[in-house]
Amino acid sequence: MNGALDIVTAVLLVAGGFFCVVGGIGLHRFSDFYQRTHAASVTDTAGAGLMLLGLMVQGGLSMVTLKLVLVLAFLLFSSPAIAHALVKAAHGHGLALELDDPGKDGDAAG
Amino acid sequence: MYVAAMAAIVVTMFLALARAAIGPTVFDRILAVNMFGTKTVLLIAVAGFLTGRPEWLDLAIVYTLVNFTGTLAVLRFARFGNLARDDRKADRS
Amino acid sequence: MRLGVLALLVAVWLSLSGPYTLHEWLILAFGVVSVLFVWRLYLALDRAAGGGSEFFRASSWLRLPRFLVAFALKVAAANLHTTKLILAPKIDLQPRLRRVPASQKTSFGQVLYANFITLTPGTITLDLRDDELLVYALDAESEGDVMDGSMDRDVLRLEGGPD
Repeated sequence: MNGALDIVTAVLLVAGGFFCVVGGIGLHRFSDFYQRTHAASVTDTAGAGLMLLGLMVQGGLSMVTLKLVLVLAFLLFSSPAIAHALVKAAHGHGLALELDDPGKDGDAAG
Repeated sequence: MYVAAMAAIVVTMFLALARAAIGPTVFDRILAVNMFGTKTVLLIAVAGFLTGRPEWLDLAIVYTLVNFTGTLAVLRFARFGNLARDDRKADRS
Repeated sequence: MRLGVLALLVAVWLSLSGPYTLHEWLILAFGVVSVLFVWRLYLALDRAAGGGSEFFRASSWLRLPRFLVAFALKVAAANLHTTKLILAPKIDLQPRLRRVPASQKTSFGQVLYANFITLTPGTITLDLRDDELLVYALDAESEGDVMDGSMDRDVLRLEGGPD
């Protein structure tokens, strides 16, 4: 255990935890479904990414780090796929999109 | 530091569960449950390091994939009410 | 490309269970069977998609690190901006829909671009049709990187386009 590496890990883990909680708060403060997907994407990228990076620092060059990289890679592939599937399903289902400038670019979409 | 990170994850899990309970649409619930699953993966990984057993990362990998497949399956079920139907025609609409 | 995927699958299996179990013939057999099964699935999906995965040639792997750095920087900046939006005393959003061209040549490149946009907090891809993306953004700053085409260029560069 190295003191400096421990500090790096602690900073990354706490930063990751901060972004996780921010995403959770956003899930409640944003007012409609489409906006909430953005809050969820904060936890999926910044939260998960920083935390796994922090654990990678602890793992060093080993199988553990390789597995952490795999977890991160799977998360980075699956989270946009899920987000896109959800949003497209909601849009196709007719859930209203609230737009600031309706009719400009978003007409006849679906 | 691991305990602090786990506390943050658990708080986020509760926030996601609350959103899953409130709704209001089924898509909100699926989004929240998917987020809950992602946090579970992180919780397993951090707990593995906390207890000095990084082998738990194998569980985290499997949970990532199960979470992905499960969310898609639930979404498909919510949309078509059926997991097995050929929806190629329905998708075109 | 097809052999590349096979090599990737073998590498993933080796990294997850191989090194400690190579002397166990049963587990080795399971590994061979599962790798071949997943490769067979990949070939079927590739054929169904019209062979769109001819994206990664050997040179693309060399350009990958630079893409990952650009990707990480953009995602980090977008995260900070979205965090600001979430924690602002008053939620103030101007949500908007935009049509943006996806100028990548391969369908894999276009999907990568769409995923890149979705992964960036603040923007999300609603639809991909006829070389055009339908992007939903939270506010003017969120859509900046999409609208000025810098993310499009990042993916194009990975695809082997002009610098």
